[in-house]
Amino acid sequence: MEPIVLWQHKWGLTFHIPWYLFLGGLAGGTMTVACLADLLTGSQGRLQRFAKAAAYVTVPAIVLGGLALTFHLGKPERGIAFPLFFTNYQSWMTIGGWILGAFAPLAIAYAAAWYLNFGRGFRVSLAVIGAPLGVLMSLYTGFLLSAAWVIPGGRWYVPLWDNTYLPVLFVLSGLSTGVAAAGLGTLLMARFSGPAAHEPMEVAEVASLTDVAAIIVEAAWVYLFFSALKVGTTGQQLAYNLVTGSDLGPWFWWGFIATGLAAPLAVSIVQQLGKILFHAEAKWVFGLKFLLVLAGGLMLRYVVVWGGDLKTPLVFPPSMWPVPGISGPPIPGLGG
Amino acid sequence: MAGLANVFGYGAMTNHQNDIRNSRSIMIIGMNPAENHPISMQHILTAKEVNHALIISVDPRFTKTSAFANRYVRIRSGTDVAFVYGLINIILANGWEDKKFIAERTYDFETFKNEIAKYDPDTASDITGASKEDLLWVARTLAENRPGTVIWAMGGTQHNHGTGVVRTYCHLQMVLGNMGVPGGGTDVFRGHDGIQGVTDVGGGPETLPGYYGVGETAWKHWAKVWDVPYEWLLERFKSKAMMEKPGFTVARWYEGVLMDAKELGQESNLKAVFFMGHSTNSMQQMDRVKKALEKVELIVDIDPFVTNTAVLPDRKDGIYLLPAATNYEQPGTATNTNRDLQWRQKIVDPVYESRPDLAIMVDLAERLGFKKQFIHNMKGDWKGVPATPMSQKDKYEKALPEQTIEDVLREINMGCLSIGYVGQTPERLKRQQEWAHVFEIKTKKAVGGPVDGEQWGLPWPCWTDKHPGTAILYRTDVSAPQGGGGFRVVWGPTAPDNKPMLAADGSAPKDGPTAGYPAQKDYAVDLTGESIKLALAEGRNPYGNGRARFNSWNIAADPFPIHREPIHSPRPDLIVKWPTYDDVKEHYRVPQPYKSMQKPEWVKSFPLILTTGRVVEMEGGSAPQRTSSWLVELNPEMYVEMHPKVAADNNLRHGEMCWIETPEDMDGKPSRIKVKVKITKRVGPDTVFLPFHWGGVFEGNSLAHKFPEGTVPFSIGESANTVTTYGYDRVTQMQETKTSLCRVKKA
Amino acid sequence: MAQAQAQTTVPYREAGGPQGKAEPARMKFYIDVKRCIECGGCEVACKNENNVPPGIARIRVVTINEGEPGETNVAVPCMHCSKAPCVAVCPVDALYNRPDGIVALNKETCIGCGYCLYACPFGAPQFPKGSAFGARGVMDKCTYCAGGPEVAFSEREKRLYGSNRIAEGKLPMCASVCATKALIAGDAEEVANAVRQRMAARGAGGGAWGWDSAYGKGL
Repeated sequence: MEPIVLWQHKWGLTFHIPWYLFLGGLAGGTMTVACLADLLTGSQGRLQRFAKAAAYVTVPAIVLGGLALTFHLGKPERGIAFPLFFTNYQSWMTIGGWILGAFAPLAIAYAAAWYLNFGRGFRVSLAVIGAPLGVLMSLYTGFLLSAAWVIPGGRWYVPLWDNTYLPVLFVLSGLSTGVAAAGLGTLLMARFSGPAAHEPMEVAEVASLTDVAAIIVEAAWVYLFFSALKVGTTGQQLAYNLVTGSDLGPWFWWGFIATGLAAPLAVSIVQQLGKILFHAEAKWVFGLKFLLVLAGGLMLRYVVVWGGDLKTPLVFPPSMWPVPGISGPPIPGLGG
Repeated sequence: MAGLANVFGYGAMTNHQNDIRNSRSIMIIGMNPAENHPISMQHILTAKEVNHALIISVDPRFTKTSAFANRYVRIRSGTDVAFVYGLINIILANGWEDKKFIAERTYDFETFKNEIAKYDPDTASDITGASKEDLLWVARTLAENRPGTVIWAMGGTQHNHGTGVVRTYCHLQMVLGNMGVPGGGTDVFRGHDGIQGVTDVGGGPETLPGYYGVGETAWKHWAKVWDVPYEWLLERFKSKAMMEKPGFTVARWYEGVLMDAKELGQESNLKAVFFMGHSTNSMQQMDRVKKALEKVELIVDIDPFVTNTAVLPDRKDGIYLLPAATNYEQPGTATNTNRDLQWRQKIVDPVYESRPDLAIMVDLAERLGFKKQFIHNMKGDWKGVPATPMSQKDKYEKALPEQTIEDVLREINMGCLSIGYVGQTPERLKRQQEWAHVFEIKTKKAVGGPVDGEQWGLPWPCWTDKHPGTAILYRTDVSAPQGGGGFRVVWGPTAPDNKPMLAADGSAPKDGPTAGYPAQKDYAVDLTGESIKLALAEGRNPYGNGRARFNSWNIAADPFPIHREPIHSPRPDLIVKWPTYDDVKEHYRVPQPYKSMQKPEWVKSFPLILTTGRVVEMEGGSAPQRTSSWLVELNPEMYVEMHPKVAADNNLRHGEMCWIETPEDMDGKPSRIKVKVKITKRVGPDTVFLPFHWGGVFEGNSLAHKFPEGTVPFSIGESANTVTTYGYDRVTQMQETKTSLCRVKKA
Repeated sequence: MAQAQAQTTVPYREAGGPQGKAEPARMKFYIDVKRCIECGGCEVACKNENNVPPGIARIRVVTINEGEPGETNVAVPCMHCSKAPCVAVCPVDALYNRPDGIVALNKETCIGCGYCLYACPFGAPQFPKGSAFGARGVMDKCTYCAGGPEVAFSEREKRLYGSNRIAEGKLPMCASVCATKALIAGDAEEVANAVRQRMAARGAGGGAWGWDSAYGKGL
């Protein structure tokens, strides 16, 4: 007998959650790369410009993401006062509330430190906390979804939100989108702040190459994830079919795999070939690539949230009506 | 009802719903209890669990009930006779019949056998569409698992030969010897609570209360009960002939308005129509009803809700809506499908300006000038309509003294002797209500207490106020004073061919005469009840001990049921072989054509079978249900069930709108409705199904603006009966809504 | 919260606990998929009893394989699980286990995040359409007809949660009206007896859908 599948179309119908997961993961990524670039390249390094752009991008991302998160609540005012209300420390939403509560002020302070040119010492001390907190921020968006792990055997309730794969996937996606957003930010800032130098192009190229690395790791992780789903339990297989099949297939294949992974790689290859063979360079090529990565990251969140509508089916107990056999000889003339 | 009455003697379910727990096989044919009698399903499912009873569902539609059946057999709508006689053919061929039962308790089995020979498995399979294997499986299952019950409802009766269909079900149970035993019987489930009671107290146009008919004897009997002179009653009619002539039925009253008076069985057309708790969207040919409602001079509609009747006709005046109180706002009794009576308490006073039906009737009698005679048997101080403004209490109590309802029941107790409505006194019913917990669920018999030994609800016949009631009719293993009895002797001690109609020696209720005996003289008209007591004292059942009839010779058109193709048959070849009846010049005062309405060429342009039915969220005309937000939420709008193939062939998708069109009926114009498509494999690729509960939209046009302000139901929709076509039962004039032809078009 | 639970009237087992001490009952649902006929009686009775607005289904009957052999109906209320996932994930402890096992909801603390909806294997949490602010209102779900943490039978309890039949010593409305006794509610011991009886009659499983997920293996 076919197992029962309960569908819920409640989250999937609003934009809040996918956008929050996207922006929150992105902010975590930008914060991480900003801090790392800041810390690793020294005060005069050419990536300082990149770190600054990343720090600036983090602020609108986390603010918009936080607003999306807050306003998806039935009672936003209770969400804002989370330290008062969130009492269940088993819940990833409570943990996430505190992570977000720490992350957002830090990101704003860090961006302010850049903008107001506070001393480097102050900035570095923020960056030391900011880099791991950024990773935690991306990671938590994954754990937020795969939170059912706190329940014994609960990881199978929503098979797509597998806590083995999803948090890491969100960190990788956060990093790749973070790098892309920061790269895009660098390009835009160069355009609006004085004469276009050669420097932003170099920065963009570094960002682009970093992104290529992130995308390759992310692609490998996605492959592992879906391979595991494909051979997993009934629920996991249903989730696999749902995401890669006809229902969410176009969004997954075109929206995430093609737009977010394959196309940026292709653009990078073309760009590198162009540079090597024809010494051709163009900012818009980088811009295009970064936009593709961002679009793909958003699509990934949408697909994951929509796919979460599928719960692991609860199987029916085996059929149990005993049917006594109908005995007796066949009836002549009836053929049976 | 007429089918049962003409075989066994009483037109009622023979066993009771709880008794299904004793069955070992259950054939549910032309019925969907999971939707229409949900409470009864607990007994059916218990039988399945505890007895391992086998459930067979025979229906054109894979219903919610079919989902619980051990075997589902799909037959073409309107082929029940061929199906059941096909089963009997197999049973007889294998010698599985109950020979003792047939010899002792039935009449004219020999001729019946010749009749059955026509329905060999090949023929039956060809007509019904069921496979021979299905027929064999069902026949063998019923034969090997006795006692078994056959349950049906409107799916059996709503055909042009519905009475015949019902008789075939009875014949099947007679052949299997399943009558008069716990777990057996012919269990027809009535469509509403209380409808058995309506039939019992003369709801039909052919009889006075208690199935006395409308002859002189009947009138004289009731004149005695009502304590009015017979002559006074006679004066109220135009002539004695009209007094003793059955009136119009609910199925075709509108022809009395529409037809030329010369064609009718009375001198003039109908001028007024008076609805009481009836919704016109449950009646076939609703487009004709609409015309009649527009032509008739006066319409009165008494209902707690604004029904379809109120909004259907295009007219500005001459239509009166009287708000009636619901059953929660007045006490009373209800007689359920297995003849049980139950006392109902009043829960609240009537709300707003609504009034109990009886109060309305008494006031009407007052205006018509015979209130004195009307309330003769009712005690209490009738004050008539209280002056407005009135309090809730005034409205109820002044218009309906508390004890009046009891007096109404006492009048029924006094008059309905023929069916043993004697022992169900208000006192006993109220006592049962108080002691409801001592009744056993499987037998409905009380153990201990003041009600010891009584059957729940005192099912009729309940001959005296000491009688326990007859939960299972025609049962010979109990004595007559304890509810035993043979088949009823209605047609005299001998048949026209001089064969005996009394049961053979050895078959009689316990502790009485061992052979058959005629009915006690005057038991049905002796108001003192002495003749009934006399019979019981001798261990005899007052109605006698007779035989069930295979041959109902008084039904002239077919003494033995014959398969007759529906008027709108999809099988032109079978119309030739199994045609419908000859035209009838007058039936219940209207001409009733059959053959001239049956056209083999219809199927060419209308290839699909149209059948109608009910859904669980709604009931009848559904004016109350469609005004309940919660029920409407569960079943929000009118739809048509369609097989995926039909939908694909007509380029329709789930949720799209389509037109259902049916051939022209007596109007000479085709009808159509616009409904939403529901694609499902419940119906086969030759059939579409419509639920008939909706109203308020007519041929695509909303009638919402016609409702009095604030009374538009949450859900309005096309009525299925706008498109159901002509076709009526030969005996009862029951409408043939279960089988018609239609075509589907994208809207 | 402690105060709220102190006000709760909890049904006790008549026979008393293992040491002869009275112990709270463990209220459960038994959904017999071999009996449910999808009459919708439970849905309507629930809405009527608790005045549930349209669009919210505290219990809903799901039909699978409609119109085909194997058609099966399941009434799905909140199962009031033993280790309820919704309770585990709720950030604000708006969901909590009563001593009698009923998973109760506090609408005063619920923030309407929808987290429970994703944790619940039965789809029990319901969200009404919210105002202009939040995407949804606060959560609503089956209360086992046990009201909420408010004072029993108070006007406020009636408005927020519906009736409190448990405090009246009655069973949930849905189970009380079930035509075929497909939905049975009550103390775990009595419910398990009903399952056992049906298992014995049928010679195999009791058709208890979702039982393992909600209450763990075994009766």
